[in-house]
Amino acid sequence: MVDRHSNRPNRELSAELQAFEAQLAAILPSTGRLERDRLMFEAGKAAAEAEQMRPSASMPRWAWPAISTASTASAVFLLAMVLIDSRSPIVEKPVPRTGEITSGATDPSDQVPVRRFPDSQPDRPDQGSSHALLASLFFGDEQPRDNSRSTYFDQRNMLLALGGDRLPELRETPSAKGGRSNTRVSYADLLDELTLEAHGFVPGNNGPDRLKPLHQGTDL
Amino acid sequence: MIESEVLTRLFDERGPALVLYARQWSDWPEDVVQEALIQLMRQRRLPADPVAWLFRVVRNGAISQVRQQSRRRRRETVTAESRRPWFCESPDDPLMAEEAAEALRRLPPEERETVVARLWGGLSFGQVSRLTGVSISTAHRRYEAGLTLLRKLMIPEEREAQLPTSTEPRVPDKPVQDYDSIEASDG
Repeated sequence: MVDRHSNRPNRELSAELQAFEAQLAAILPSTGRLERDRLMFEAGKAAAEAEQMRPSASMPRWAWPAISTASTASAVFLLAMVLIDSRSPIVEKPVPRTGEITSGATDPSDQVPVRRFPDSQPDRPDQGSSHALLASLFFGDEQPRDNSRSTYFDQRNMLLALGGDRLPELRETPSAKGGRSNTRVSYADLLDELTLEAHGFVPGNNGPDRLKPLHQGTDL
Repeated sequence: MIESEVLTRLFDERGPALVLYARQWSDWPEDVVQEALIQLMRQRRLPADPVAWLFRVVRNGAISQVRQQSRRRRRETVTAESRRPWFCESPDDPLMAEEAAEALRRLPPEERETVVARLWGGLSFGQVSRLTGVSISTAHRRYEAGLTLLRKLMIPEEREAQLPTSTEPRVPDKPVQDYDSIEASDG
């Protein structure tokens, strides 16, 4: 028993000690209260509990940390996308051409670039600035001209924008030029005159000079 | 997972030696050994040297148990444990087991631990040196010294050699004056 597990041979011990060693090795230690059946039961129970506590052998040790990291990254990405998407979007509105309202001119120089308005801005021209009123009048919605209510408001806005003192002049101009007195001027004619004047043409001129621009710095 | 056959073999081959090894420190060595075997079964893989692993766990567990015991409880259990036999009685020489246990108790702790681990535990001197934290030569020297002392304690001839040849007290002829006179008279 001793020689089998020895690192050194027992020749260093004397003969008397070797004999005494063999005599002692023949005495078997007592197991005391150690019960084999109870020990095997407790050991099996402990092994089963330890096996349950361990992660699965089919899944490597780094699997759960990797899954947790990927899940966290996905949640952060989705949260960022939701926050970006919640901001107010920019809506593009096409702006009509200048001559569609007045003379129907199709001059490419009259093309106006697209203007952008935030979606939350009100679309009613009577609540905006003077520029917005003019823009809504000249470049605004393409409503039909026979809409009397819309025409009335357009003319009213035009008068408010250009001033009421121009109204008598505009009223007198057709009769002076055409020699017609007591001629009733419709709202549509008044609107045409005002529109032409706003674009720099001589109001009331039906001849070849009708499209002659006014001098620069007109009172618009 | 460790197979149950491994545990059965370790229990049959090393169980009694482990109990004897733990008995040096602990009053309840069976509990320490059982806990060590259960701890072995909790391991995912079998250690490279399961026997040396068991002896180390038993040693640590027994020393830890001693530290946890109160002094009063220790005194009581020592009295109770002293009645339990350390060795199985041999039919040829029933007194040999008792004498061996008594002689082991009288050994110095380091020598007793080395003798038990080497002689009954079957560990090599390298394993004993790693277990006790000393060099191989120190372990071998402790083992030889322990065996020599055990032999002196157990064999009657050795006991008689230790005793004085005459039981009568030696009375000097005259009172000792000083050490110089003693050396002069002896010379």
